[in-house]
Amino acid sequence: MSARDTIFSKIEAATESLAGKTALPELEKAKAFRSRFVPESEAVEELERCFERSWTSAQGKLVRSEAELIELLKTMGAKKGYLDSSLSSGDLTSEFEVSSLFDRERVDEYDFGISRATCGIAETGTIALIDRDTPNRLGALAPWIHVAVLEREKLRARLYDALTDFQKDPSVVLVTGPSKTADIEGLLIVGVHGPGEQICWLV
Amino acid sequence: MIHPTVSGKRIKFMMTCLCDAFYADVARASYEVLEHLGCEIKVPSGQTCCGQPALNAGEWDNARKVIRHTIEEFEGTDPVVIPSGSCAAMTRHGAILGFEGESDLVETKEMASRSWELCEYIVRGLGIENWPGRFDGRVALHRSCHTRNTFIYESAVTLLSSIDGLELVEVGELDQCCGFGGTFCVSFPNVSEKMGQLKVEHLTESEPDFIASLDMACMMHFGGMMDKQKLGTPRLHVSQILKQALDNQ
Amino acid sequence: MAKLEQSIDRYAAELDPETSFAVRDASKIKTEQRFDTLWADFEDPNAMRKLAGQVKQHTLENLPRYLAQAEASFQRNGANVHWAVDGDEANAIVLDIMRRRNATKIVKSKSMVTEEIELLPFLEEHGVEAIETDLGEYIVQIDGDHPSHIISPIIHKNRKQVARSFEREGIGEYTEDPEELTRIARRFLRKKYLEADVGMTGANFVLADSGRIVIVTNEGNARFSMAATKTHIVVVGIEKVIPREEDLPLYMNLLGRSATGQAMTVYTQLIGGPKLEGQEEGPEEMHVIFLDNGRSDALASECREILRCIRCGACMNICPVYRQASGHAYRAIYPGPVGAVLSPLLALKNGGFHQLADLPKASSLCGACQEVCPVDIPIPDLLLRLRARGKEESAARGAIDSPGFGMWAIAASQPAAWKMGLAMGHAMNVAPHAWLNAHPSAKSWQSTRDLPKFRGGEFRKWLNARKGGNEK
Repeated sequence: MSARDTIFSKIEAATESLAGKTALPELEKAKAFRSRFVPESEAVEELERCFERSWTSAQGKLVRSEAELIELLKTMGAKKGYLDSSLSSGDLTSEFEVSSLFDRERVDEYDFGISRATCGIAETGTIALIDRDTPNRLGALAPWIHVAVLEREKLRARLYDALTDFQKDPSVVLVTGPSKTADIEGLLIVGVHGPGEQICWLV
Repeated sequence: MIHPTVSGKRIKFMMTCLCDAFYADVARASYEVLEHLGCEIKVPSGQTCCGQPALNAGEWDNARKVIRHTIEEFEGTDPVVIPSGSCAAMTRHGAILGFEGESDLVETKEMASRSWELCEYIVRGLGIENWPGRFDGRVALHRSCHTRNTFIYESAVTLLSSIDGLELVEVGELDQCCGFGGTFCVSFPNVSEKMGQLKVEHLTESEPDFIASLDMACMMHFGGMMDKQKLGTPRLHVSQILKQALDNQ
Repeated sequence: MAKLEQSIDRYAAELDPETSFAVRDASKIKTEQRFDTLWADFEDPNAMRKLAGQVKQHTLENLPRYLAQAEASFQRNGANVHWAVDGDEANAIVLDIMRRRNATKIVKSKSMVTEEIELLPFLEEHGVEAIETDLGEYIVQIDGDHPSHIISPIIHKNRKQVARSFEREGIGEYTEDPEELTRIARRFLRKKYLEADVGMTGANFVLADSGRIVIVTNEGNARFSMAATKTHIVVVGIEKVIPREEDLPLYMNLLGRSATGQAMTVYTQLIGGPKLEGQEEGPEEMHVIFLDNGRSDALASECREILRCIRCGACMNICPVYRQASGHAYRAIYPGPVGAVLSPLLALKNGGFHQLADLPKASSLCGACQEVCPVDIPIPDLLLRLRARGKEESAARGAIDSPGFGMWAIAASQPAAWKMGLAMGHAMNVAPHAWLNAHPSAKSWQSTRDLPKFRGGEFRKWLNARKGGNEK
């Protein structure tokens, strides 16, 4: 008997008499539990307001123009970075050394990585990075600074609303702020293996 | 946890094994409080114990033996009033657990539906939210763990805070157990002591005039520690406060 | 006379003050954070917990169906699915995958289930280097230690200890500054990710309908493992499945807040299959290993509700016994309230229940754990059921404390005997307390508490004296 057969025969025996005992609750019941951060309407302005509040309270930073982004990157001391080739570069290429190739042999030479967010979730201040819209996983992850470019129309109210954006992508990464740990004495440290600065560029 | 729904003033009184053995004063105060309320009280003379110690020890056959005896002693349809959150919870939950699959499970459920802790009976059974009389002092009320999932603690707070002169003080870390837990306190003495010590610190922190409890089991444990450490804050069961307030009208 | 001493109690007594304080303090803070965020953010967290419990309970009761569905969904997504009856089989499957992929280096994310099956020592024996990448787990690994809490592995350590460990490993300049230590770990582990062949993770949830695993982290280590390597191996217990992708948000609302007071962990990954064609980095193969290792026995038992557990740690954070004893006292991978049920149950498969039968006794049955459990597991009831099982099987450790209630039950069901006991008990008041110490329970009691005065039958006498007595 294969391992699969062994396991299934055991769990079938274990659950034989339990059919129908506990019903599967309707999804509407769970959806009815709304946190105080759920946007009050689907209007883009409201979604943006909620997103900004939740994003920044998770130590994320928000910019709304290329000029603002450049300024912020400069204050962070950035010199060189990775830019997803599908994004138009504008002034970035003149202010910084920008490459559309992410060379993993030189991973620590990139100060920043800029890639697309597939959508954003207003309630939790979250952006989604998926394989389809992220040419290089490391480019969005390894540099100290990550910039997620998010179109306003792609803001969703809750995680429930964002699920359809993921389609069948094999890798969906929901990002809520820069990486953190509190393993040492419970002290919060920002910037562990992932970015220590997480920027969202709202376009 | 079954909530009692059968009320009325013709009641049976369960004194609890601890009061039977150690705390006659508490049983007496509870009885007199119920008398004052106009209850017609029967005290089944063959009563012994709710069965909790055996259930907690895993000796469910022995527990069921005692529970069956108790149900027999308290048979009928009258509400059963108990000056202990722990015994009430046992009657309304522990016994049900222990009788899973037994043919007389329905009897335990029936008993559960008419079993009340004292304060809960007064507030939710009889609808009384204001207690007459006077009791002067700052009181730290211990929230015993077996009041979880019931309205017992809320009922006690309602009654005590309604008494003239009585001020309920805040007690820190209400969610932390005092460390009695039945045989736990003697088989895990170090942990039990540390838990008890924390509880004593929280109860005495604001230097109350009195410490009150809904459960003599808890109080026997942390009170015993206080006595050994010569900490003199007077300790009263809630029934004794209610009685003293009545005597002070 | 039955032996009174319990090893968990002894451990608590001997725990060094520094560790003891660290555990209690951290636990208290996390308990407060959980309460504050849950009640600030939601109107009725208790209703949410009950609903989350129902979804899990339904899933467990229909586990064969949902596991089969998950398997089909994963396969549709291009992932390989494997089944392991126990740890040995799981370890062998991992090694087999390593060999077929010509792989010798693994970077690993936090996974309690891999601790359970002792995967790393096995791999080491077979020439595979596996490095823990979660900061706390990495420190545990280099110290040859064990995590003492399922979420915060090193709550029993301080910065000085971490500094010494890093210095000993030679991975950076000596520093006791937590931020510096974290930067050192970042630089060191980054190289390891990029050199590794395989990224290994557990899974917080398995989504049956869409064929995805869900991994929640804060550090970015799981992300890095799956960005830098060419093979992804998942080891996950069969109980982690939930029916629908749309069930996930309810658990996401509860998990972070229950564990650390966070509304959302920094990274939540939904992974269903190898990388998309055209993606420059990431696994070409994904392998999901479903592990039984005693879970099917737990499912068949009277305590199956424990399998709802989503590993948040809230129960141990609030548990007064865990706070005093700390995780290592439980001698098992899963400590605290959940461990007191799960660990002995998982040991059923190899007849090891009796070795852990004392765990369910390490509780005052206060019920705090059930009150904070995001899936509403009735832990105190399960502890009671296991105590009953322990007694029935005369499990050695289970029997070692209570004197036995046979005599007591006879007295408590025969009023005449009971009343005689009430009369005789008065001897307690006149006996020297030293004599009373002859009974281990009395001795234990008196070491820290005074005994109350015995007043057996006084209330009954009083009652009978008034108006000719009211006793029926």
